[in-house]
Order: sequence, then C-alpha cells, then structure tokens
Amino acid sequence: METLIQLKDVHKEYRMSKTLTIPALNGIDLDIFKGEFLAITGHSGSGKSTLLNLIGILDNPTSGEIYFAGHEVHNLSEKQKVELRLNAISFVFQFFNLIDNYTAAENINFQLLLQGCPGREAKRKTEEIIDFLGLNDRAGSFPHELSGGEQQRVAIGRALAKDSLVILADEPTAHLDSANSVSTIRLLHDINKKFGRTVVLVTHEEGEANHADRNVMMRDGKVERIVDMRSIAPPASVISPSSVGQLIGA
Amino acid sequence: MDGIFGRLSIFLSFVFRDVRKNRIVLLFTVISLGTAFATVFLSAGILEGFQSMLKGGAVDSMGEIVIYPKDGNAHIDNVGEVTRMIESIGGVSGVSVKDKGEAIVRYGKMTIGPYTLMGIDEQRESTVTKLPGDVIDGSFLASGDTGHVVLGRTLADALVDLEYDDRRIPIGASIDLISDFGQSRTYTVSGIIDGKTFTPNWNIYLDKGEADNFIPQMKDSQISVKLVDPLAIENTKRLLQQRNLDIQVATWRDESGYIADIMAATELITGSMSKLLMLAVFVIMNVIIFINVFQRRRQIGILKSMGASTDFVVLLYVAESFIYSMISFAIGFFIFFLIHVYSNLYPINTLMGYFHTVLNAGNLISSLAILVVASVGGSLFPAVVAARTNIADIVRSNV
Repeated sequence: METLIQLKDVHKEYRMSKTLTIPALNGIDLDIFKGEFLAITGHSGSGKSTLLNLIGILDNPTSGEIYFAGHEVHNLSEKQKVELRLNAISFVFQFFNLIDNYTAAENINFQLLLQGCPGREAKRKTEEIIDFLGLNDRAGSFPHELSGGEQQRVAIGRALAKDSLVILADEPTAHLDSANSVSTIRLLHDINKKFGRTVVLVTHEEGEANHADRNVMMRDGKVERIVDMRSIAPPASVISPSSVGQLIGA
Repeated sequence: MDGIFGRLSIFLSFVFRDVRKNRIVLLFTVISLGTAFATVFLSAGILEGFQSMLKGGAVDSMGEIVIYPKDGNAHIDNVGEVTRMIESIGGVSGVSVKDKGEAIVRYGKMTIGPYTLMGIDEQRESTVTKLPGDVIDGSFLASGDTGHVVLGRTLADALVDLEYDDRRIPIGASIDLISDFGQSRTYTVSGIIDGKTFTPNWNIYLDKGEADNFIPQMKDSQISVKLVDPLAIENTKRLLQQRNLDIQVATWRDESGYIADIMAATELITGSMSKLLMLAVFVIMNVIIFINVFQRRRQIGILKSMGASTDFVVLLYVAESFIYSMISFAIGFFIFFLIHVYSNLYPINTLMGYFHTVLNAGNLISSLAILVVASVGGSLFPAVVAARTNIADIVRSNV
C-alpha cells in the first residue's frame, strides 16, 4: 500500500511556563496509507487531537519527522503549507466551523472558489455535492438554520468539494445525537469507499472505529496498539457505499 | 486573469457579506466613528468660519488694500493720478479716497475721544466696503450732506453712558466734533452703523466734501482698494509699490494686527483641538477594529483551515475595516453637512459679524488620509496577529 502520511518519532510538548512543559505526544511512529479509513481513538488527553493537528499541518511537532505525500513537512515553507491545506487536506471539526454568513451551498461553493475553481464549475460541483448529501431543500439555509447533523453534513460536503488527498475528522460526532452520529460516520465511510479518499477519524467512541480499516489506539501520548479492523467481522451497522444515499435520504 | 477576477470576486463577496452580517458591529462602529468624524469636520468648519468672519469684518470695512501718504506727509499728493494708476491695474474693482483724521465728540455732558474721523464719499465707498449698507439705525450720509454725521455702534453707545448696554445716542441728536486742529462744528446724527468689527464701530463718518472743509489738513489721506480676486492682495500690493507713486501700501492684514493676532490664536486653539480630535478618531478606529478582528478569530481559523493564506485573511479584515471607515466618513460628513447648511441658512449674528461654518476641502482630504491610515493601520496589526494564531487552538474552540 502507498504511504500518504508518515510520522517518525514525533514528539509534541506544550510549554506552559518557563519551568512547566506538558508532553502531548511521545515518539509517534505511524504510516497512513492512501485510500484507507483510519481511526484514532483514545481517552481524553491521550494526544489524538494533537496528532491530527500535526497530520493536518495545523501545528508543528517539537521533534521528529512528518512526511506528507513524500515531502517532509518541516522543510516546507509557509506558502507550501498553505497550498497543502488548500488543495490536499480537508478538515471536519467537532464544532462544524461553517462560515456563518454563507448558506449551506455557499459554504461548499466558497471552498471551491477559494481553490480557484471557475464560478460555473464551482456551482455545478456544489449542486452535485448538495445532491449527494441529500441537502437539496436545505441548500439555501444559513448554518444557524440547520440542525447539528445537517451542519456537519455541510462541513463534510465542504471537505469533499476540495478533492483533497485526505479528510481529517476531529471528533465530528462529539456534538451530535446518536442518529446523526451514525449518519455522519457512514457518510465519511461512504466517501472513503466511493471516492477513495483517505479518511482519518479522531474519536473517543470505540464503536465508531469499527467502521475504519485500522484503529490507532492511543494512551498517554503514545500509540498503544494498531488494530486492523478488516480482520474483525464488520458490525451489523456498517452500510455498503452504494446504500449511503438511501440512508441519508438522498 | 480569470483566476485574479475570480479571487477578487470571492474576496469582495466575503467582505461585503461579513460587513452585512455583522450589523451590530457595523452600527456601533459607524455611529462612534461617524460622530467623531463629524466633530473633526465641525471643529475645522468652526475655525474656518471664525477666521472667515474676522477677515470678512476687516475687509468689508476697509477693503483689501489701504494706501497712505509717504511718511511725513499728511495727504496723498496727486490723488487723481494715483487713483487712475490704481484703477489701471487689473483686478481692481473699487477705489475710495478718504479723509482720515481724529476728533473729540461731545454729546450733552459727555465728552470723549479723540476717535477716528473718516470723510467718505458714499458712492465710491460702496464700491469698496460695506459700511454704507451697515446702517442699523437711521440712514447713511448722502453725497454732499454737510450737516450730518454717522457714528459707529460702540461709539454711539459710549456717548450715552460708560456701560456698553446697547443704549445708544438717538437719531437726530446733535453732537459737537472738535478736530485735532482745534476746529469745532455741530452735526446731527443721521445714522448708526454696525461694521461687524472693532475699528469701524468706534469711528465717526462725515461726507467727504464736508470733511475736506472740516479737516482740510487731512484731505485725501487714505485710499481704500477693493480687488476682484481676494487672493491677489500680495501681488497687487507689490505692483503698486513698483509704480513709485510716493505712497505707502498696506494690506487689510497689515492694518488689522489685532485681528491677525486673534486669528492666529484661534487657529492655534482650534487647530490643536482639530488635530487632537483626529488623533482620537485614529485611536477609536484602532480600538474598534482591533476588538472587531479579535472577536472573529474563529472565522480566521476556519478560513485558514480551508486553505486561505495569511495574506488573504489579513486583506479581508483590512478591507472590511476600510468599508466601516468609509461608511463612517460618509455619515460624519452628512452630519456635518446638515449642521453646515443650517449654519449658513441661519448664521449667528455676533458683534464681530455673522458666524457660520465653512466647508474646507483640504480638511476633508486630510481626514480621508487619516481614515485610510487608521483603517489600514488599525486593522493590519490585529489581523496579522489573529491570522498567525495557531489554527488548531482557534478551530477547536467554540467561540
């Protein structure tokens, strides 16, 4: 399998004061393969979100090496990092983080325009994504007019619009009810399978990791173990990619 | 090119959406900044108005240029030739030859003075000053009027009692004038004028023909000149000096040292106030924009996580701040303009003239320059700081 992201002995410390430094990651070695659905699980404070931020080039490691598509992130200029965030990495956050003054469709469209997609093409792609998400009747609604589940679907749609190499989802179900949580994870799963996108899901819900190809279990800033979920029988709730549209009502 | 226009389009779209969305911020910002701008414009307008009033009072009572005999002479020789020479200079709209002397005034038991006595020809004078039209009681002197006198408002008041309470000598009253040269004549007060400045309101006015007889020693001792273009004063003064006419040439400013002093003082005070107000506007803008940008750090984080560059984010907020500032500027100007129009429709009648505000284009331009610097400078720093904040910290918080 082709490695998309590679971490070698990555450490991250947060300096709280001159004398107090809190270690968040202690020597992470991890390969993330192209096209896989990777879950990162662990208790609160285990370092999973810190790890995701480093993978997403939102933060810099204290030491160690991170390679993104063969490029060592440490050697990239700020401009190159911006280019990667713009074109190669998509984020899905627990607080949805939609742009308040844009409608659902405009949030997706804005991402495409930001990437330099011509207006008409952006509009067409936006309509396709809205259709895929099953949000046709909510396309003109502003984030505050949408439910949490709908907002998260728009956020995933925005991530999908980017045509990126990897979607990094940081506890996307943390503020959703169980029904919307299931639907969100299924949507990510479908995107992974249908579009071949690499998905990295950070979650503290062990059940959500059941949908992943591998589960990186973290404890105290270290990878405790990596479980190949494909060797475990899929849970009854796993939905085939072809039936996602039906599930989300599209 | 499509890429540039496309990016510009989304940039502007985002900026205007954001401005429209943040109505409360917009409202508070434009109200506070608009009021501040209105105050800046108003203070400058008041300064200009005050200076204009002082200048107007002086020019309207003496013309723009005043000509005297050479030192040692009591009157201007060959006044006819001098007058023709002055009139031949381009840009002269009026010339009035006067007798200027001094006289003590006696009214009843009150004897005061000496005060300046001016012998003027009403028709010639009206081409140079507004004095003939400044009558507030009675009537002005007609040409060839030998028995009447016109008094300045303050002198007319002083002749009744020593209190300046606007109780003035009545029209038709008789007064005696005693010249410097010992001559004495009795005149009837035909009118009282308010020259809207200090000097003419302490003067005594006789018809020039009568003054020629009363104070022949001071005949043709002053010439007042009115110019078409008030800005050509110094140039005209220089031209007259070059003619070797055996005269002394002064401008209204040379003649009104006290007015120039007052103008300098008001300019210093009001100018300082205006500059301090501009500084206050600058600080207010900085603070408002600073708070505004920092309040939206989460949005900055979202944009950056979407792939927007720091430059793009910074420019967004600088542009937004500029829009806030432009709206504030327009509101400030509108408030000032309303006051300005009212002030010009209903000028305040003061002892020194009719006061109204003046619109100064230079002040508007300098305010605009301050606005640009303040909006860009005020937003640049917080936007840069906010845009450089760790994205991970921002987007993980639900602010």
